[in-house]
Amino acid sequence: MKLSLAFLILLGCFSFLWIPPKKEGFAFEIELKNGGSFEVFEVKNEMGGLEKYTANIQAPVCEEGVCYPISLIFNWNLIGEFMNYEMIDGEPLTKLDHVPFLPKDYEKLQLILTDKDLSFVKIPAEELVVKTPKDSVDGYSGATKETIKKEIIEGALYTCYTLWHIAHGAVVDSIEQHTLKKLDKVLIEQVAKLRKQSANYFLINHLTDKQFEENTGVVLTLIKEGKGYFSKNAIEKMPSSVFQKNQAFIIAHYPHFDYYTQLALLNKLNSVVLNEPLESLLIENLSSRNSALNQKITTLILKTTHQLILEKLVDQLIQKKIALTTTAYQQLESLSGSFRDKIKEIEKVN
Amino acid sequence: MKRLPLLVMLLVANICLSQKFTTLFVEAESFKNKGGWVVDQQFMDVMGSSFLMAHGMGKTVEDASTTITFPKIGTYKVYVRTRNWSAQWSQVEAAGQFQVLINDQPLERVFGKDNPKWHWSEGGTVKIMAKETKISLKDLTGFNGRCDALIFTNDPNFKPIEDLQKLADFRNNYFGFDKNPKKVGPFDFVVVGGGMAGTCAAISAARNGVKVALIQNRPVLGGNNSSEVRVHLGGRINLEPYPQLGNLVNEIGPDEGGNAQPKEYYEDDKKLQAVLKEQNIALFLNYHANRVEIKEGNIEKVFATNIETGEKVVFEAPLFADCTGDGTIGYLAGAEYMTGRESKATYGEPTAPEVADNLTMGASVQWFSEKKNEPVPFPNIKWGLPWDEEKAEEITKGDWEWETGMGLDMKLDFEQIRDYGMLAVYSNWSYLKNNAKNKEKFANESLKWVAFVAGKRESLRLKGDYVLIEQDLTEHRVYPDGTAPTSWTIDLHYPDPENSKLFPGAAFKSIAKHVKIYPYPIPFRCLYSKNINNLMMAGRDISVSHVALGTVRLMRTGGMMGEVLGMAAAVCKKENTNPRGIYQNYFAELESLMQKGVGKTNIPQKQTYNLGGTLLNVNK
Repeated sequence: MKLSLAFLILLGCFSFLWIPPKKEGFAFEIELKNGGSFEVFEVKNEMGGLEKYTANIQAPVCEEGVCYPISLIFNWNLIGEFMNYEMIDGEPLTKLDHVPFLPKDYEKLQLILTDKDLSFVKIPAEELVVKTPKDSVDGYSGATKETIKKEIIEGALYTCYTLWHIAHGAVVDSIEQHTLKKLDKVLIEQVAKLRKQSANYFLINHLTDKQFEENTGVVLTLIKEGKGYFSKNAIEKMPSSVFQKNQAFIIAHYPHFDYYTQLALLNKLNSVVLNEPLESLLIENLSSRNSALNQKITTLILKTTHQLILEKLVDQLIQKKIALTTTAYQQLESLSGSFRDKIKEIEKVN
Repeated sequence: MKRLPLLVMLLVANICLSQKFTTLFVEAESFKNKGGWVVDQQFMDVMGSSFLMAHGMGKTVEDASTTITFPKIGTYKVYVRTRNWSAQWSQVEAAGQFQVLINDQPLERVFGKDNPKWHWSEGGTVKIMAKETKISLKDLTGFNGRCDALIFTNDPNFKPIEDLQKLADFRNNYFGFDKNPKKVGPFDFVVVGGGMAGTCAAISAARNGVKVALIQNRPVLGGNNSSEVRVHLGGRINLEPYPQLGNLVNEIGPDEGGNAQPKEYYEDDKKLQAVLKEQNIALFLNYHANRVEIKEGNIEKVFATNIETGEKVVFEAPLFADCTGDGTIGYLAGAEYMTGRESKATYGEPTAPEVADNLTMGASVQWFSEKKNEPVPFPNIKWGLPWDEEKAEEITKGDWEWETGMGLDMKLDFEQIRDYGMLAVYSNWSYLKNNAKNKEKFANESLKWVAFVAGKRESLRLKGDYVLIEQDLTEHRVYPDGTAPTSWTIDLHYPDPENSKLFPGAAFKSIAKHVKIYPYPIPFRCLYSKNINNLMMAGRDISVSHVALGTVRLMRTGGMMGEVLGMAAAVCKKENTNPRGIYQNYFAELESLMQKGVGKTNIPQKQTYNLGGTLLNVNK
């Protein structure tokens, strides 16, 4: 009586999770190590665009010798990251000795399945529980045991373990490959909309030069908002041609980029013919503290055909007491123009 | 290393001191045969000397012995400098007791039982029958009895000196080392501290054409990663924006990870051989740097004392690195420094406490046991902490979280901190072996290793031109003078609440709180002193707030800082400048060296363990 009541309450709690996926098409099948398998389907949005992937998971789980089947629905995003699970009507989850999952267990399972940093999932299955007679000493340090205990749902160690490995197993690569195969302008925007560092990297790691050129707007927005080293890495991956065409973007954003993004951008500009406003901006951004950045800006500017720009450069070098490398100095000396009289005032470094 | 023969020293000193009476001063750490006793130098700046310690982990260790030459036979009074280390926690018995043997005959007195503080313990009188006399230390307990020095005197008016400064003067006068410190060099760069940071700094500098002296106050290199402390390397290497930094860490770092593992895991010899291969490095193992000379804001000389012989060496160079972890050199030189936790108001750090305090992260005394085929006894100690079933930790290995000393002074109180760590290990183990409900489970377990060199996490942080703070890391505020990237979480330790309930105010276990970050290039301005012009730092004593220390303190990160320091030393030498000069005028040169890297690139990537959580997009 009590059990069935609990069961009803549980169903009540989780019925809101039940949204039938709009399965549009079979994507691929994943074979599990234990011989089982599951089919992964595409889920499309109202516009008909690929939105995520879903699968009905049916797996046998054994807790201390007692095995029983588990059924639920898994969802992954476009780049193969596990999103969430959904319950299937009439298929509640149980722990050891058929103790049903409590609401907090269902919540914890969601946390477990979305966490890539758990330590218990890295332990080989056969070593999860140290099978030693009860009177012998546990070989793990206190910390290890405690960490695992905190990570799992007690009484459902293998359920957590099995499901985590399904969620983060071979399916991840397969989804990536599947998305890549279908990667068009719409899908690129869809991936960018995930607003996740991993999705941003997915794009810059896989876009071809042609795709970069066709989707410049999307990528430049990601660069503008990039965190960590994303902006720098994205710039390094992009063809120079994009920057040839988007010098206004550089002028607008260069001063706000961090040092390493600026360096990456300057490297890209080596094969770009700079317009005068960009040249001017770069000169204004010479630092009074000598650095690789200054050297790169100087090298770029020395290629200019604009006399006024060279004059501006020389003035800035003198004003900010920036030393030139011997090579750059010689290069400047070889050029003609009204700035030549002032060159002697510029310092040199080796 | 050339040592002055002990006997000659004693004779000369004796003649100098007195024509009429004889007073012989014998340093225990200079005993020719150390037997099973270890040399402990960790507290010499506080209690005055390194000493011998019977670190038997419950089993008595082999006698230490030496032969001394008495100018005259006759009756001598004996004094022994020692302490009862367990007395600060228990009045019942004494943990570390030992005897002094004269020609294998014990003096009547047992030492290590009396005063909880370092003091001269009276040993009665002894009749010396021969000029060549063997002196031995006999361990009676196996629990860290300690002996700093012995005095033999036939001067009826002689009183041993307790005042630390006067005692130091007496020693210096007696042995004469201070009058004539040995000059070594010339060097371009002197690196003090041979942990991962210092070792990498020395090798990096040497490979960049700099003549280096590397000074380490232990017999092995590696510091916390040596087989003496056994903490594995942590953090990531080969990261943006300088992917070549860390190649040297990979080259000299152990292939396998794990805390409190067997000695071989830590590959002391790999680090040593890497240093010995460098023609440009002069290695000074067993030297503790303890004095500096300053002129116009520059360190001119660093003096170091041999932890066994007492011999002093003086190093002169235009550039120094403090890789001591404790900020020893900076402190001695009058460098500005920080300690404890800054208040929220100081840097506006969200994690900082409202009010500044002296809480530091603690030091770990790790340990493990091994299983034997037969039952192994362990003394049922009376001087341990009160223990019961609730307190009992039924485990066979104590990892990093056996950490203590938070809130104490990591320099002044460090002997107490280390000793308390050991006391907790022994108290638990003695209970498990003798009194626990489940003691049968531990019958065949034998305590194999307990660290006597405690693994420190935090002491002084020397102030640089910039102090790295929490928001720099969490908001990824990158500066143009970035160097080695720190990648570990902001990992701050606190006393374990559970353990604190059982041991109020004296927890010996800790917990860690983590905040993930993107790898963050540590500004070069954090790697040199603000007010000592020719002093750089690498390791945990760099210019960071307490919160920021949480991430930079990892040893792979410290090793990469060392790589950077070596490169900076090369730029200083080439441009005849100092570290601030690099920042202002020659940073491009350092950038180009950092891009190039210094370690071997043709060896497999072995540093794949203990990488830590990160916001970095990690490739599968």
